[in-house]
Parts: sequence; C-alpha cells; structure tokens
Amino acid sequence: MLWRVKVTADSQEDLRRYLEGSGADLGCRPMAFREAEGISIVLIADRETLDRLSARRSAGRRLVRLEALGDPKARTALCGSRNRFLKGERPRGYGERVDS
Amino acid sequence: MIYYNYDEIHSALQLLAEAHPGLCTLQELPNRSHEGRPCLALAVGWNRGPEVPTLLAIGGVHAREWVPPDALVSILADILSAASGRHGLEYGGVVFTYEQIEAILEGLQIVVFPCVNPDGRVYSQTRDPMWRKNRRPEGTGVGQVCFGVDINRNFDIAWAFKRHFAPGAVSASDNPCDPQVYTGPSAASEPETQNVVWLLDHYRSTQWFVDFHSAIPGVLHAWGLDQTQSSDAAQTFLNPQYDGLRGRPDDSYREFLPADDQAEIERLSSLMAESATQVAGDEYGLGPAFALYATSGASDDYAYSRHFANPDKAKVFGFTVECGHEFQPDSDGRTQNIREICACLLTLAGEAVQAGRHDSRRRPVVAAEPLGSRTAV
Repeated sequence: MLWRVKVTADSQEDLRRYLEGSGADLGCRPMAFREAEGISIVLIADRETLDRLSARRSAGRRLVRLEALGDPKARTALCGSRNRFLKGERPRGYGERVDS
Repeated sequence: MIYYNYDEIHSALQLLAEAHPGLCTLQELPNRSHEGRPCLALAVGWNRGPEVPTLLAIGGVHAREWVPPDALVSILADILSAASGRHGLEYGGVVFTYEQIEAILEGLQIVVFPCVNPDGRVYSQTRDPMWRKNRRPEGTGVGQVCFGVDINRNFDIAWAFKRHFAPGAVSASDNPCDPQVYTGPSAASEPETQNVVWLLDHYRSTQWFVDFHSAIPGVLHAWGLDQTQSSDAAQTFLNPQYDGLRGRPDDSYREFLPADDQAEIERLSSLMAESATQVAGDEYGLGPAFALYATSGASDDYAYSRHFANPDKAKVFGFTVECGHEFQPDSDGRTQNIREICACLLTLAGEAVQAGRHDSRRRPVVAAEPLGSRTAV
C-alpha cells in the first residue's frame, strides 16, 4: 500500500534533514512550497517509509497522510495490450471544436 | 482501456502522418530503446525542417507518468484536425481560434516526441505501475543486476553530481539499484536520452523546449542546479572553481541567469501556468526547478545550457510542466490533465510565434522539406 503524504518542516534545511535516508519517493522533481506553517513537500510513501518519518517527528515537523493510492497494480487494468489504431480507430484529441 | 500503450502511440503518429502529409513529417529517431523498440516523433507546421524555428515537446521520460504521452498524441490530433477542418479549439475556458492556430502553423514548427521511454512505459503498464526509469540492465559487481536509469538525471548538464555539487545537495544517485534517480554510467549514456539530444541537434533552430511530466501541477524553469542570480557571469555550471559548492540554498553560489532570459522565462512560465489553470480551475504553480534539492542532468536545464556550453548552438528556453495530482488518474482526471497540457502547449506556441515576429536576430524561415498544400492536409 502506498500513500500520498505531505511533510512539513520549519526550514528547508530541516526538511532535507527530515527526509534524508527516509526512502521517500519525491516524485518527478522534488517540489517544495512555502506555507504559513513552514516548508512542505508532497511525496509518496510506503508503510516502512511512513514509519521512519513518523519516528523522526519533532517540534516543527509535521506529517499528514493525504490519501491512500491503493494497490498500484490495479492501475494496469487501465491499459490494454491490443492496438486500437489497427482496428480502424483514429487518434483524436480532447479539444472542443470552435467555429470562428 | 483508457491509456494508450506504446504500440498505440507509435501507430497514432503513423496514422496522423499518413492522414496529413502536407502538414506533418514523421521522424524516426536514430536510436532504438534498450529493449529494441523504435522511436518516433512528428514535426508539424507549414514550414518544416532543421532551420525552421521550432518548439520541441517531449513526454514519457518517466514511465509511470502515463498522461503526458497520451496528451501529446491528443494535441497532435487536435492541431491537425483544426487545420484541416479550419476550426478553432477550446480546452475548458481556453480558446484558440482557427486564425491563431493557423498563425502558429505558419510561423513555427512543433516537433512532438510523445514517448521518450518506451521500455519503461511498457514495463509500467504491464508489470509495475510505479516504475519510473528506463530498462537498462546493469550489473553491480556482486552478481546482482539492477534495472533502469533515470533519463531525467542522465543529460549532460552537471551530470557528475559528486564533483559539481555539495554533498547531499542534489537529487541524484550513482547506485544502479536506486529505484528513482540513478544517473547512469556516463552522461547521455542512454539511447532514450540521445534521441532527445539528437532532436535538439537536428532541429537546430529549436528555441523552446518543454518536457511534460506529472504529478504536482506546475511550470518549472531554469535553473534546477541552484538558486539564480543575474550579476556574476562567472558563477556557472561550466566553472570548475565552484565544483563541490553548488546546490546549497542561500549561500554565496548561485547559477547565472541573464536578466533578459529570466524575464522571458518567467513571462512564458506564467502564461503557461495561467492557461493550464484556466482549463479546470486546478492551480498550476510556477518557479525555478531548484526547490528542495538541486537536480543534475535534467532535460530542461540541458536544453537551456547548450548555448552556454557551445555558443554555436541556439538558445533554447527549457521548461518542465507537471500536470495533475496522480501519475495514473482515472478517465476524467486523464481527460482534464490532457486538456491542461494542450492549453499550456498551444499558449507557449502562440507566444513563440509572437516572439519570432519581433526577433530580428531570428534566422529566416527556410523550408528544407517540401511545403505542404493548404488544401491537402
């Protein structure tokens, strides 16, 4: 099981220390953002990572589970192995037609 | 089935090229992926070829980010449909008239490489949805084989992170078993990376580059190496005097970003973020790619770095656009993210055309390939 988790610390430096060696998945690029409470990042964590981060909590460090991502393997059902474009389907976009 | 598999992406580009021969050119990339898959890009515009001002858009660098390749196929279909049907396009509240789309196709070549990392996509869609890297096998020297290089840490920009950066300052790893950010055995070692480099080299008038990712909505721009400054041109990734110092926030080293470039990069980022936000109200942030950590070997920094490293190369404004909140959203989320990407890319294309009109230093448009017929798109 994986979770999306928001981790906050008082300073950028402390947030880096908090995450160091945690095994957290920081996503595509580690994007931190400044909030009233401090500096935060949203990351992906499994149970072990959550436990590690929970154990390191201290004053100024906060950890909030945003949502469970469920079983990622279930996502493979969103993909198929056949090629729809060999069966007559044509690529289409999602823009709405606008007549000038 | 919601998402395109890699065979479908490949077929979609072939079908679009066959259906619109006057307006696009299929470009086979010189390198197959590690597992031997062929790679295709599509160049779209009334004028096409290496000398034409070009916007290069790529997706699928990170395997688990399933939306961007689908979005790039979708925008190709939209643009070509709009041109042939002589109509405009709307994404949420963001409208592009037929005249605006025609102006883009007149003044710009858009080269789209939807799926940079085909092996990773296949693996992610069939075996491990959280897989991010490519599928290079690499022995560790103790009888173990680990798989995958993070293509977005493999480009030749401050790639040797242990030399260039302060210890612990950068999001990168030289451990082949790192599940996320292994940099690879050498700079631009990966065929998938080399294909992107080839596109930048081949379409040598590329001036804008966007790498689409997910899943925190935002537009990122130079630099990812460090915080920036515009007064000391000696503080650059090229200067070995600063090796070992880069990547720490709020210290004396900051990466040089000329003030004019900064203004233009921020302007374009802001317009892209506004456009994407307007589609469905999901707020796209913006800012330099350097945030919590520095990044080495990333595509956007590489694109922008090329003219610093070699003044013979064109200046390319590089961006990373991240869409949505999930790597693999459901059907509604996928559709929304696709529309956001399309609005974002067409906004940038429109601005690129405007910028080209006002830039007297721009090279003249020379059609290196046959011009298409306006009536046979």
